[in-house]
Amino acid sequence: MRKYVFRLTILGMILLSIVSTTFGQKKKIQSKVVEPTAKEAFKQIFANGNLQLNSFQSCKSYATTEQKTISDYLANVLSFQTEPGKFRVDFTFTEEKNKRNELVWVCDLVFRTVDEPETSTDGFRFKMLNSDRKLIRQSVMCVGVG
Amino acid sequence: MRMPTALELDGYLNKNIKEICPCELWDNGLSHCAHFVSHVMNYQFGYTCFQMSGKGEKDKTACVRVVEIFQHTRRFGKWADRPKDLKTGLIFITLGKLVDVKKKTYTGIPQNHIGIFIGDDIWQYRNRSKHVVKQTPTVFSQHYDYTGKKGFEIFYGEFPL
Repeated sequence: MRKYVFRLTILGMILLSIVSTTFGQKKKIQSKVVEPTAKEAFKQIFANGNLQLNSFQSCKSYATTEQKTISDYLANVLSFQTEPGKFRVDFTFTEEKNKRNELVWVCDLVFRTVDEPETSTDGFRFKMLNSDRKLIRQSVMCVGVG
Repeated sequence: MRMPTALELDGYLNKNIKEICPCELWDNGLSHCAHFVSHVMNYQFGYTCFQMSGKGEKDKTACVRVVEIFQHTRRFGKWADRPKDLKTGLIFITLGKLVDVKKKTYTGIPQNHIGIFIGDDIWQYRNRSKHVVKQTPTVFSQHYDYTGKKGFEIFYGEFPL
């Protein structure tokens, strides 16, 4: 009986150690704060290009019969970049916490013309969890002004 | 429906957006033409300065997009075809070829601008000057001449209800 208990204890310790190592590492990965790169954020936009502009209150005014999705709008905005001018693309990332106290990145993509205030700006705001690095669909906003 | 007076609009002359917007959307690098018009006219539809800045009070917010004001206008057309009874309203400038007056649509481009007219006087937020100016339709129609692009046209829009 003593031997059996001893064996169980050893087994328990091994199991505990495996579980602790596995979950401990996972926790470490999740808590590591990694700011998104512009490339990573662009990939998320491209991956969600089929989202309908009409699904988002702030994007509805950009929806037309020829421009229905995030991709369509992005294509229109990018097409301006082929014209002569001093265009600039800014991507900024701000940290915040969601209701579950998870770290979320607020990603702001803005297309603007340098030294040209008479032109409107276009862009998107969306959020992604620090842990899974995926765009949160409900968070998408069009942030164009002018 | 609000009908601004010339006296009231003159009160905005030379003012920077900082003196107009209580929601603190004051970035001089942004185009404030629609933003100015919306504060004057109390247009709170669409995307607003309060949503953008997160500051100030929601009931003092104002729309910041030309396209959204355009979509809310009633009668709309080329400036030269302005109905005689329309003495006060909105004036727009953008590339004429992108506007379909019959369908009342236009393809968004970065160059689009808006002001308020009373007769032949126009009040607009001139971003390059960083303040409100008063102009004639002829001067307003030259708003984008500095870009070297041709084909800009001016349009009237009846105030939204």
